[in-house]
Amino acid sequence: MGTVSFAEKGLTFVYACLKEYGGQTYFIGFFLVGLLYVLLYGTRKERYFFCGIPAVLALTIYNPFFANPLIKIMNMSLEYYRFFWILPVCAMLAWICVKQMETQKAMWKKSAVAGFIVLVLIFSGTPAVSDFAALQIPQNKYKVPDELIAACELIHQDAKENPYPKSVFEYEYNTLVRQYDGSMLLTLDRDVYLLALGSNTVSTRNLTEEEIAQQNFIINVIQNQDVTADPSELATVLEATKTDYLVISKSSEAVLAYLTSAGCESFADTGSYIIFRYEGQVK
Amino acid sequence: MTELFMAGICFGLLFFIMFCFGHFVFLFAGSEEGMSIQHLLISGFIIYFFLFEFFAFPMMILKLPLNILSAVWGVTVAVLVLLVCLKFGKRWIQVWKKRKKQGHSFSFYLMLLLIGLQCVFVALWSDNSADAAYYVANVSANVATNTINIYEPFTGVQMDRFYTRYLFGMYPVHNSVVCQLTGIHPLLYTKTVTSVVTVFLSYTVYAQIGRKLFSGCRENVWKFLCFLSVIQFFFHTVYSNASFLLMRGYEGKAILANVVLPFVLYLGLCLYDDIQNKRIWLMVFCAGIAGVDISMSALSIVPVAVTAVCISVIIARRAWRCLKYYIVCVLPSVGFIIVYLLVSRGYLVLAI
Repeated sequence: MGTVSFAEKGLTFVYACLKEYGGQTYFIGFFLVGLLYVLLYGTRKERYFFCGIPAVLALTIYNPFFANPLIKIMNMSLEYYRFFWILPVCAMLAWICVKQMETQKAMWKKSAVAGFIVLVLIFSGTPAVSDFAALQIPQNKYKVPDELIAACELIHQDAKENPYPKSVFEYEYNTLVRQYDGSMLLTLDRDVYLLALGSNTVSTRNLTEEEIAQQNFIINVIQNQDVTADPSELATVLEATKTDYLVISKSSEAVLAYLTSAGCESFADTGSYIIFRYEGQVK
Repeated sequence: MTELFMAGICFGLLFFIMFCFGHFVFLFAGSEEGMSIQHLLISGFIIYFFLFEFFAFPMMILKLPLNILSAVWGVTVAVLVLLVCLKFGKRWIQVWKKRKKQGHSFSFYLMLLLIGLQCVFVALWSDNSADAAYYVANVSANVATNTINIYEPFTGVQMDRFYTRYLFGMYPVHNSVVCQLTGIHPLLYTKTVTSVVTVFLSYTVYAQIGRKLFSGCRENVWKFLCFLSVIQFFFHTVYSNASFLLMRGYEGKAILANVVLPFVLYLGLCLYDDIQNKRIWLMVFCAGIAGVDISMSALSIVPVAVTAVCISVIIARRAWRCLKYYIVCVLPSVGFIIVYLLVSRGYLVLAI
């Protein structure tokens, strides 16, 4: 969890993670109350399943004195929340809902209880999609923008004898393009891009400082639209990274002009993006 | 259209193969009579990925091309499915003929509708999370280069050593194999087919949990699944298992959180009923390895889940002699963790 720091929280790390895990919903609270319900009204089997298993977890992995050393050894402070997946939160809540329904004999009473429970769940939870306008039919069966597909096709057409052209894309397409086209090489590493955008949950693994600096230079140009450096510096970086193509949105005219000054030649237009070819340094 | 048609065929075929693999333990001894289709399906899923790890990981370390793995695994699956069909085919036909036609309640149809809506949701949902840049791009890179985890998924450059963080996780490699064998595009297969498969398998596991908790009362199981659907839709917190099921169902982590871990909990209920049953302990053992094959997060999470489930059932049933079975079940996970720590700290180098 990037928002909860192990170094800062210390012994309260586990509790802090549990709070974050529950998010804006009340479901973790319901689960904890449900443990009491099972202890009081459950059968032995139900007590084993809903209370026995969480009890062992509470004594082990959810116990800060046990968990904290393990987190240090395995270096998993960012992934610790995944241990909460073991808890049968959803199963217990659903089980309690059915039990409450079954306390009623008449069908209309059962339906009323079910309706009330559903309303409680709706108002105490957070929906997976809060804005149904965000649910759109994908543009194609690959669920990527049509323009991305067009950009890949245009680049491969232009690259002709080079089956693995190397390209620069803006962040959204940079994340998607190799999922669509495994033969498209990228100049910008995902983690360097994420770090540049402010993420604290990734690292740059085996990249050298020079490689990171080169990528950050390009990101600074296309993402932050910083065109103050001499265009020849961009040309030097494109040369060093062996970049063949750049796919840049039309929205920033300053960046487009800057790329042209650096020796990039625009050769295709997908609608929202211009595709540049880089063949060598400006003499 | 051909690709979509193939994706549909692949979807059905996957379930049939999982169902056949569920009979694997009965190929040589014992009978599968009394086992529900759902139990066989999810057991088969675990056995399938348990076996896949033993094929894929060595071939990756030996730097064999992807098409060799695809051919070997394809033949293995075909032979096993054929053996199962030969042994159990007649029984399946008899069971089908003897089945009682029964009406279903409103709860049953509501459950089907809610699960169906979730399948449509995951099929249409476009996820562009940063993790997809690894998992799906890894599949595309393997297919495009006919290699197994040799090329960096983010940029496409050749790596000098295998990615430690995903060392044993062969699930993307499995997706690469399927894409190579069927010709289906990795994006279509991962973000649509596997996402829907994950939803189906998850609710199959929960149905089995429901059967155990409600003593086989089907009506209550359907209601249980209906409420579960509502709860999962409203338990969106970015970190919750429900969020992963609906938004990122193609990732190994989603399958771990929504299929493997609930399956381990289900095995706990099975052990509660019959703690001396060695087949159940065998499934616990397989779940440990299959979990790691599906997601590296299982490296530490599954042994913790197995510990919680097994220790609590051993205490509840006072079956102290079963401690030895528990120890055997967690041994593979301990082995994986030791190798992982050796590789991540540089004591063991797996160079490409």
